[in-house]
Amino acid sequence: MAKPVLKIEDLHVAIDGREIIRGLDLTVQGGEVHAIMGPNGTGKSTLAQALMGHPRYEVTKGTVTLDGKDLLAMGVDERSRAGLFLAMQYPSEVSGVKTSDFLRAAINARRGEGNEIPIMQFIRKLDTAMKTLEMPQEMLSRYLNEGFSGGEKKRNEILQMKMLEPRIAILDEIDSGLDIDAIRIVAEGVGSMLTDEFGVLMITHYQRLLNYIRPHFVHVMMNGRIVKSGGPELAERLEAEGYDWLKEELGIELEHEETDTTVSQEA
Amino acid sequence: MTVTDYDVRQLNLFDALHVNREEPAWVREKREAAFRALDTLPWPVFEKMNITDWPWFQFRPFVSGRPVGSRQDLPEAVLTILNTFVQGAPTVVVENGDLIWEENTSDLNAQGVIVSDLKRALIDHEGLVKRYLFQAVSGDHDRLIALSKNDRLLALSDALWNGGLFVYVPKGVRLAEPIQLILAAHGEGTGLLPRLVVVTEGDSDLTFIEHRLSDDEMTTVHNGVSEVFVGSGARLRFVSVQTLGQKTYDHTRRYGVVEASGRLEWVFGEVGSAHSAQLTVSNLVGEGGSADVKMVSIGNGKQRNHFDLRNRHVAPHTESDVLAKGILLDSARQIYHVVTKIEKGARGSNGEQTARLMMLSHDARGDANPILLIDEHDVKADHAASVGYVDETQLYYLMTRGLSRKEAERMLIFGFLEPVVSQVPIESVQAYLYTAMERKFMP
Repeated sequence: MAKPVLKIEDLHVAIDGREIIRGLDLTVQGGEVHAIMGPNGTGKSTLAQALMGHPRYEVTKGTVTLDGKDLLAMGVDERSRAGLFLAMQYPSEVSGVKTSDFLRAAINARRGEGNEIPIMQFIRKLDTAMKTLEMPQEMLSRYLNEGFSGGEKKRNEILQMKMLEPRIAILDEIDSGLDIDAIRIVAEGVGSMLTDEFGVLMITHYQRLLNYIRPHFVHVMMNGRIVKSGGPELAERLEAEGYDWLKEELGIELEHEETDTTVSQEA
Repeated sequence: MTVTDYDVRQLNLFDALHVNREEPAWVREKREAAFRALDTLPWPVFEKMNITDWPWFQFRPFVSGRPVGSRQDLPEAVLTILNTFVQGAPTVVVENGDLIWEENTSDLNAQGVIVSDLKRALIDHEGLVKRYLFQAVSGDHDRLIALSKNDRLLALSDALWNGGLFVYVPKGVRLAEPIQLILAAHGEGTGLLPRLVVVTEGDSDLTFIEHRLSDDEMTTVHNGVSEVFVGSGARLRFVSVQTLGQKTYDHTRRYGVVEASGRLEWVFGEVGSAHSAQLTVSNLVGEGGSADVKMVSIGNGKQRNHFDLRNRHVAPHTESDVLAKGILLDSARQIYHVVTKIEKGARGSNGEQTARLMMLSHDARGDANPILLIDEHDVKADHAASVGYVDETQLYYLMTRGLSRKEAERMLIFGFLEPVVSQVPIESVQAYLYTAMERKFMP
């Protein structure tokens, strides 16, 4: 199978008529880990949700393709079946739906009718993934994310990613609310999937996640654009010195101080 | 709107009874009095739905069932349901006014258990039946709230009831297997007017399962009255599934009387397509008795459903709990009117109720009315009610994993109903409920 390619060109995204992303270009390929960093309110989560197709985020300009296909023309579920995955910052709690039943339905949704995953194969795969993530079996019989701690929800996101085997995964602040042990486990879970057929776009505030998942590229977002790109050393400098030097260097004033995550899950 | 041009009020009741019935005089007198009062009695009050223009009187009365020689001769729809029931357990099939099939019932006699066509029971066990028939409705226990003491739909059943079942479990008999009933309407314009009497004497234990159905293509009136008696320390699980067809007008009344430390667990699956006006009342008349209602419903098309659930605490230390969940599709209308009434003197009682409705269409309309009527201060009572649209954030989340909107909705619906359905005591009935609801959701 060919390397996956997610290609974003001149993307503009608005929420309720207000433009949040203002001309963003980025290409993520299989085998690559990209980290997007930046202060709160600069559009990082907006980028993630817009790529996934959240109905509240309106793409006003630009193109996005996945493996050459027009991603923006696809519905949310089609994007997922095409190989895109979004590990959410705030996953929904869904009462009454068992995690294992949901996972099986999601896998079968991409395999299609008549080609459902054999139950034993599903169980084995699930078992392996849960061991890697050090998740207890009983989580499977609990309702999806209901009453899960922040850390359990994040692990559950990565579990879903491992089960669905996307081509490109976006991890939206997968490290927030996790202690160091959990970050290590989650990062190993992601790292173990890295091949030429899998690319990652990580959104994070903190360098510490990058100690566990070494990015090939680091991008800084401000005011809805990528303002600087570099290697891992860029993240290290941001961790040590903050964003002020960069703002100064580029002559940028931040426009919104409120966080962009407050609307990220609202439909 | 009309079921048939025939109006049962034109019936010559005397002739009809003379031809069809050998009934005790007290039953006949009840019929005649009720028949005479049909036009003068008030309508029952279903507060948020006008049901007075539904064709309650347009049906053919006293239609017989068709006897069958073997299980395979049963109508296909009946057979399908029969196969979802617990196999090997005592089961009877009533079509229109007659018991047309029974299986595995012979062992019951040895334990003194009676499962009998009600007409037959009035002959074989008249004294016993007389102690219960009509008594939960209009006996001493009925000093009941809001609904008029008598009304024309109840009188319609009293006058023209046709067939039904008498179930009697003697003191101390605990049945491991359920007793099962299928009640089917057959024939265009037929009125399905069963009376059901279920009696569990002290310290007995019974699971009763009934399934009522009519064909989608057939215009029918269902007017069914059930009277249920739970003796001291007895436990009765009463599971009722209805798949009445879309041209059926349904009036269902269920009355429960629970003696000291008795427990009555109702489970209702309203998964058919009929227009319904239903009332279920549990009277907790003995100290320490309890009533529990678990109910799911799904409405589609232009379906109209009014579900009225009432728990009445008369004796001290009684408990009641209602958990009802409804799904509304298309332009369906559904009302849950849930009343917890704690009478003066029922100290130390606890009444709880929850009704939740989920709408999947902006043309649907749901109402959940929780009502607490408390006349005693030393009690606990609690209610929760909600009506809302399916959660778009949850839908989005499921869709990001590749589920289509329809599949995601289905998952949310089933998740919403799961806490209720999972408590249905028979697994095959759980599966049936899901299948029936899925059929309505994904035709």
